[in-house]
Amino acid sequence: MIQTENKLGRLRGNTSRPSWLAFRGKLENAKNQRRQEGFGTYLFLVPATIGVLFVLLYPVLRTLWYSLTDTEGAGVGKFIGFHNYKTLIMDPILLRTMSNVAIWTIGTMALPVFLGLVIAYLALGLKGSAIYRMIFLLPYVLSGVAVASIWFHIFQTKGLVNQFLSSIGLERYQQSWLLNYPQNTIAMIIAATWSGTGLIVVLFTVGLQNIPLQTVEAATLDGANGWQMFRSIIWPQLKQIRAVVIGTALANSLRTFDIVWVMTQGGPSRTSETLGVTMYRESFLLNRYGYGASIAVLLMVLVVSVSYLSLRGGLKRENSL
Amino acid sequence: MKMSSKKVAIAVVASFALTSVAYAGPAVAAGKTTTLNFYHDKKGWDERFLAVSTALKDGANIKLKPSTFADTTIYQNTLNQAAKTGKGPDLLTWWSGYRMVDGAKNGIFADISDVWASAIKAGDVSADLQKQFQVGNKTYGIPNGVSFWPMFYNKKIFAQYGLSVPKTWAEFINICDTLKAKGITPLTASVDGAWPAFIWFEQLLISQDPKLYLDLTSNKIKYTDPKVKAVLQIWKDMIDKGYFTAGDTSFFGEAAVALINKGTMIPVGTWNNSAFSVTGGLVGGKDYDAFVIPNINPALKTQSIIVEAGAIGALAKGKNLAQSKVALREWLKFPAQAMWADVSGDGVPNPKVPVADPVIKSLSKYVATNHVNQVQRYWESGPVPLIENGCAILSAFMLGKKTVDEVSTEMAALSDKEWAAWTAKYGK
Repeated sequence: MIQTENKLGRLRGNTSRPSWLAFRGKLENAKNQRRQEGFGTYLFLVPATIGVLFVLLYPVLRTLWYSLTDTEGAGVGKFIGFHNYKTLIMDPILLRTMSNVAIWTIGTMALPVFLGLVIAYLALGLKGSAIYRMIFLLPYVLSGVAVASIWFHIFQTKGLVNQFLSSIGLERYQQSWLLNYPQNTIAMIIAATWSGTGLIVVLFTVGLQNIPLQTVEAATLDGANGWQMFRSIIWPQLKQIRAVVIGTALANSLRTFDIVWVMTQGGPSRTSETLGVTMYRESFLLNRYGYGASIAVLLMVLVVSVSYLSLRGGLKRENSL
Repeated sequence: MKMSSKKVAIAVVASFALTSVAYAGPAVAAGKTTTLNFYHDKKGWDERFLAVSTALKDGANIKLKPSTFADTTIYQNTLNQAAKTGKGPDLLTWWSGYRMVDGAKNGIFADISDVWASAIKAGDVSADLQKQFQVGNKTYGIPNGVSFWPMFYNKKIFAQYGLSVPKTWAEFINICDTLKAKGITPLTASVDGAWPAFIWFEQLLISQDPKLYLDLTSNKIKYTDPKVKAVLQIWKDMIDKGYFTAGDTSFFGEAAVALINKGTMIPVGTWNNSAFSVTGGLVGGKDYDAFVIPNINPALKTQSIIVEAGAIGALAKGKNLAQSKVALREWLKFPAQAMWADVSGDGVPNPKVPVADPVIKSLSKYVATNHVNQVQRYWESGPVPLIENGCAILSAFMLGKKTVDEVSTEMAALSDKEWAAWTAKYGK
């Protein structure tokens, strides 16, 4: 609310209360008008609602059902209750997969989110900052498969990293980056960082631009230095955008699939599998659709829970007005 | 090197005249061309299938409409759904052996035993090959080419270092040592995508004892058997000597050409031959060649070689099933097989078709003359989860992450589990 007010205030050249009240008045009028139009209005929502139910809800329900069956290959499965979930809990690969997901989650917080914030903060107000942001954003427009292909050639044993190390006389540090654990997962997080940081820079830049100048000016007058300014003025006011960035990054790290599939296919020896890869492998490589569906359900529960928890705190409305 | 188009045309016309007499199957409506939808996951093979289509048009008034799936897993899953709905292609490629069982039991493939009976009677295919496409007493596919798995090598580099095709394991090891001393990685091995991990496993097993390989893949002995562990130890010694390329090495297309140009030997199916001759522009028999890997065990009387035969089947619920069977019968006849051999440069199941490519020709002659034992590939020789997950364990072994004992124990446990699941589902 407060930020909306500031934004509107800036658009109008002032932050006066009457203009905000006028805006709220218009909103109320629109709502009343819609109520008066009655049931007919909702008919327009039906096509979209059916679309959403069919495209989003039906696959979820279908996956839930599959997870309770022993569907495999071309055969028709039968209901087996929670057997797939019991098997999943006992499956030794789950521990490795979950530990990889944890590394991905920590890595995603440590690299793209942190770097994105630092770059956005440092670039803000710089001459030509839009160009810097554009440069960082460019890899984001590439598909995950293209990103993974590029980084595969960088990290493979005969790849650029090892060639570079050789060229500067550091042969002893050469290694098969994608064939050793956890280096392979770390290498893929670096690839994901290269691809994903640009968007985070843009999001944080939007957040930074929405911070009221008065608060910054006031802190400056109070003699705040750079770190104090960031910690006490900037950081708290980035709360909402931070929630969006972290929530999105967490969900993406939990769902990681394309980069892993292209760079290592979860190998060698299943060491770099994530939940998404394990689900794909069981469902589509081994054609164990029922078991794969149970992993998909676990993944869905994780993503929804983490997204909800991370966004709930961050996007909680301020007590305003 | 390919057969000239003119020769192919003459051969096709002549053989069609001869073989059409022996043709069996539903009558072909004159003047009406049937178009059959044909799904496959063989990237870059459309030229081969369209060449076959030309022969089918001449012989049975049938045209193929190929659709390529770039991703094998998507392909498999699409057809798994097609088996349930009947909405799918008329013809499709698949894999032989155990990989065919699920589709056969659940109605992906039509029984085409009658096509085989006719083809065997006409001498268009060897009855020995039929076993790879049988589930129970029914047959569900025809061979989509037949590929041997020899060792490809750089002939010029061999000559440069005074090396010749090895007749014994000691000679083979000597070649590896010589190349290594010259700074060349002698042998290709890879875990890229996990599946290539089985290549050296199966090869060393058949070089040591083909019966051991057959017993192991048919679950008659355990992976913890001392003989199996002895083979794993031979493999381990080779790994420790640094004979193999890095685990993330690719050995298809241009990557294969790069390897062979450097002098590294490549154990791979002859379907990869066109990478050397077409992509790499190398001259078979002059720049590169292939040999059957010698036996480790000198007591063995014959050598063994891995054979891979992909499958082409007809969708059981396909709306043009009768015409699909006609097409499959026509596919095995000389005209279609000659076209295939000419375009692919690989071997074909029809023994009447002369092999044009000098490398495949020489290899086929060697296999026939020396009665080389032909063994089904590991990939098709067991329950799918056992093979797929087994490759993950073998990958770890290749990278030095597991010992011989660990690998044999883990493989044995996996084998017990997956064979039990397989038997429960499909019976013995």
